[in-house]
Amino acid sequence: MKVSFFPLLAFLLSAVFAAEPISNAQTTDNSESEHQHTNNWAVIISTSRFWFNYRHMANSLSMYRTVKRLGIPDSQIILMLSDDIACNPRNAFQGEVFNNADRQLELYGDNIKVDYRGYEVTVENFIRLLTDRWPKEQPRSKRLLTDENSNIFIYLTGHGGDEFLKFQDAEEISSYDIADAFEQMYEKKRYNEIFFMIDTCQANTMYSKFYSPNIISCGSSALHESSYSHHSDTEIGVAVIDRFTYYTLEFLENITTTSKSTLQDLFDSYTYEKIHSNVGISTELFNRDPKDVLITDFFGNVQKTVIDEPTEDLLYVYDGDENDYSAETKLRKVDDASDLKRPNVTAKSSTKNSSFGSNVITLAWKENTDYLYSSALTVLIIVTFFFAYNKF
Amino acid sequence: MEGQNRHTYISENALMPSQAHPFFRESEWNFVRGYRNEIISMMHMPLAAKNQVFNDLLTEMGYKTEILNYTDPETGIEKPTLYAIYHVPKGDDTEAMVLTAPWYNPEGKFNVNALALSLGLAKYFRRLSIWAKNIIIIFPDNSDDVLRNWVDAYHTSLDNTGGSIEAAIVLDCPSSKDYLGHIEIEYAGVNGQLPNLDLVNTAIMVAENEAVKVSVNGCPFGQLWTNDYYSRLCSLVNGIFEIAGAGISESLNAQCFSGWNIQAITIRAIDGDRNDITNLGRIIESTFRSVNNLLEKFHQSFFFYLLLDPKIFVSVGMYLPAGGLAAAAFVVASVNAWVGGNDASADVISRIQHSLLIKSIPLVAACLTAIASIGVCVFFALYTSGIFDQSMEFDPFDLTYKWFVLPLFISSLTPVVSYFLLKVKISADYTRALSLIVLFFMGYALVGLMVLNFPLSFVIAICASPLCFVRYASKPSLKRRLINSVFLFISCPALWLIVFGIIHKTEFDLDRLRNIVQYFEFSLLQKEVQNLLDYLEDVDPQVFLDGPVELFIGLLKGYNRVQCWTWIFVCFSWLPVWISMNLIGSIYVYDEISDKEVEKKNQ
Repeated sequence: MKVSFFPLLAFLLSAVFAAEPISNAQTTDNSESEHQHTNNWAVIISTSRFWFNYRHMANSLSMYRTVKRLGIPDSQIILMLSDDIACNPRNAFQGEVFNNADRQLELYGDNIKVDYRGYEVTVENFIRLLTDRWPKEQPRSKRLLTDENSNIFIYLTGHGGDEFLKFQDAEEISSYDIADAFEQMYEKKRYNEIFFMIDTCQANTMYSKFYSPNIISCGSSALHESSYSHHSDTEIGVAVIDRFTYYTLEFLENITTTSKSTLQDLFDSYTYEKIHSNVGISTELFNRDPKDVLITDFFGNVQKTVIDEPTEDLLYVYDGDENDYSAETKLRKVDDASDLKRPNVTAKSSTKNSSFGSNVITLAWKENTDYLYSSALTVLIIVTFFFAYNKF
Repeated sequence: MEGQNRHTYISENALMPSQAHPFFRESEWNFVRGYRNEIISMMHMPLAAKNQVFNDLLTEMGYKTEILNYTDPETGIEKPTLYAIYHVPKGDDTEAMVLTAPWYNPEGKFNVNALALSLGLAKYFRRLSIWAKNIIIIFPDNSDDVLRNWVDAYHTSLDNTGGSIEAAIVLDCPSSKDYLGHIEIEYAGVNGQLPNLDLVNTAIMVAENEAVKVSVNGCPFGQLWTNDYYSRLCSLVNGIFEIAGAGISESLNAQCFSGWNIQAITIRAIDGDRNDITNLGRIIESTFRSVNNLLEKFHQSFFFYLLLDPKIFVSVGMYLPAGGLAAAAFVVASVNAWVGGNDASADVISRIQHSLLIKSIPLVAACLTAIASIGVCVFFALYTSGIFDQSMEFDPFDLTYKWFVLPLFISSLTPVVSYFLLKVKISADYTRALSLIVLFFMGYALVGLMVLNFPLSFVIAICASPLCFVRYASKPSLKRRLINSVFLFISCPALWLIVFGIIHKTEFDLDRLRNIVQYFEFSLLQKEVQNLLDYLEDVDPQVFLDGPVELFIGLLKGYNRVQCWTWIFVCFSWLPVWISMNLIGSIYVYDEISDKEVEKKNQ
């Protein structure tokens, strides 16, 4: 009996000391696990054809540029452009597309990958893309290879009406079609969350039929309202961007991969004075508050990396600097480190990706505030083992 | 008026008029001035030499040029047409836009500014990189037969072409000044084929963005700002006659492009100093850019409309009932002839009982008469239309008066003459059936025409409407015969030929009439009457005789020149119906009731 008692005691003791940090980490993880996403995708579609719809192509290309800038790789962006306006003979700036009359930013540079172009942009292909029902020969680059950990940003622009959106001047997709496609995606575990954004006339009717969970939607105009273009380029001779997209981009231009802006900030930036129509936001199907949803959850591809900040520089090589040994310096270093660390631990799930369940000692070791506990624990364990083995 | 018309709007999204900034400005003005000096200096050179100079200029600019030879069949003068095509590098080479600058405008003036501006624009268009449709610039000697010949040749025999022509603008700007007042847009097309309203709207919108005032239907400058009932009515009437008369007058301008599915307008610059020549250049540039933006043919908007104002139009649905009512008069008269017998001397009600039945022999006879008169008239129409092609020597004056006007005038007196001379009687069923058939035919033909060419149908319906009141009589009555003669006379095609001919020749200004009616004052009337008297004193009476001759020749030539159906339609409907009604009005019928009563008594 005595033999087994000491190791058991040691384990129990260690469990008690370690209990607090472990349970903390666990709760944080549970509450966030539903919204955990590991990859970001974007589907960006312009549905209208013809030269006078230049702005729809510019809208889409601007969005494409933005999500790419925020880190979603081309392989995870599906860009559908229904017409090639860059090479339209009417384009005074051949091979170039601009979204502003100042023509500072060229959108159709060398680094554009259009997945579906021209007459490939059809309702059928869009639905197939969402539900991933393709014949075998469909190349992987033209598929939406999402899983249950994917956050998808879907952006549509074109000419719409009450619960429909025109494709190619020839066919249309209804709100029900998209809703059912989303439901299929949900059933097939093809997304974690969807942010559906649409810039058309009467856009808000497009998301009115959605019923699958974890979808947040945003449209440019209410029922019976038109969405307007923002301005024309008088040399190109067409309107170059729509108001809703213009102001969305204006907001997104200030976003970087590390920005803490949330969707609520984006929604708050829309005003009737700017957009000239009533922007609609639907959060009914979404169980997070837009206040808590970072812009980069959808627009970026932010892989969270937790950076350990040990009290001492583990890789430090002594170079003979006496200051390194000065008590004052050392103390300050410790203070700084703990100050920096605290908000990280409490506010965010910084521990969530670190290996929970790994060595207790390591965990305890890391917590510099638990210095005393950990040294006592070590001593205790050594003493226990000593006693246990000494007996024999 | 309210609710019966609408404001014009651009229906085709692709056009986007005035969205692009036109750059035809001061620097181009210098080129236009230079070209103008050149053109003035070679004013007296022969056409071939002038063409050669232009040819060199355009070739240097990078246009592909060619000359289409044309010999005037009447005078034998050679009038080669130079045209230049810019095959745009980025377009698919299947569609084209046309700018036409005739050397001489319809009044015979040297079209200096139009020519200079066309060259300036040609040079300028070459520098723009936005063209998706080819650009063709034509320099015909004049804007009637020579241009029409080019248009026909382009679609049939020419090798050097630039695709189907989507839109055409004919420029008429004979001034040699740097400034112009406002512009007039003519949109009438042959056989009621108007250019798509979108093109007209585009040109008007572009012009208004350039702050250039636009006049349609020959609206005078002073009336451009007014928008009251009389000014619009005046404009409407002018517009109706302009379209109804399309293809007949000597100057065709944009009408030359009719029939080939080309939307064509004429832009005429009126002298003044409100705008400069580059304004006109920018109007053409912007209009071309809009047409260039098109992806399909013009198909939105309206092909049938009446413009009251540059910005107000009456759509086909609104005006058709008017034409329908005018045509319905004949149908009602026809039914009246059937049911009521069209017998002036009989009591209608008493006849109804046995009137719906027409005996078969008279019915067949009536049908044959109607068909024969229609056949003869159509043959007459086709024969007369071809007269000028068979190089037969005809004196137009003789042809008009000896062979058309006088015979018709004399025969309109037949009812009276026959009262004294011809005392044959004929079955009442025959006259009844004949009037039933021809009046119904007239109504039917007018309705058919109305859909295609409302103005012509409407004008003919109004002019021929007295035919409805020509009636036969079983009892001899001089009064009835006189009435018949009067109705036949005022519905006679020859009379209206003379009326319209004189109106056209003397350039009757409806606006002055409107002015008197609208702002009636005795002194104003006095002044106008004085003006009229002065005019009559000054004018050569020959003018009044020449007017109808010119109109008649225009009618006859219309079909061969521009496939204008007006004369053929007149001979197909109006003339045979008039002849048939003349017959009906001139003969006696057996009084059937009295005859039957006699029969009954005999039994």
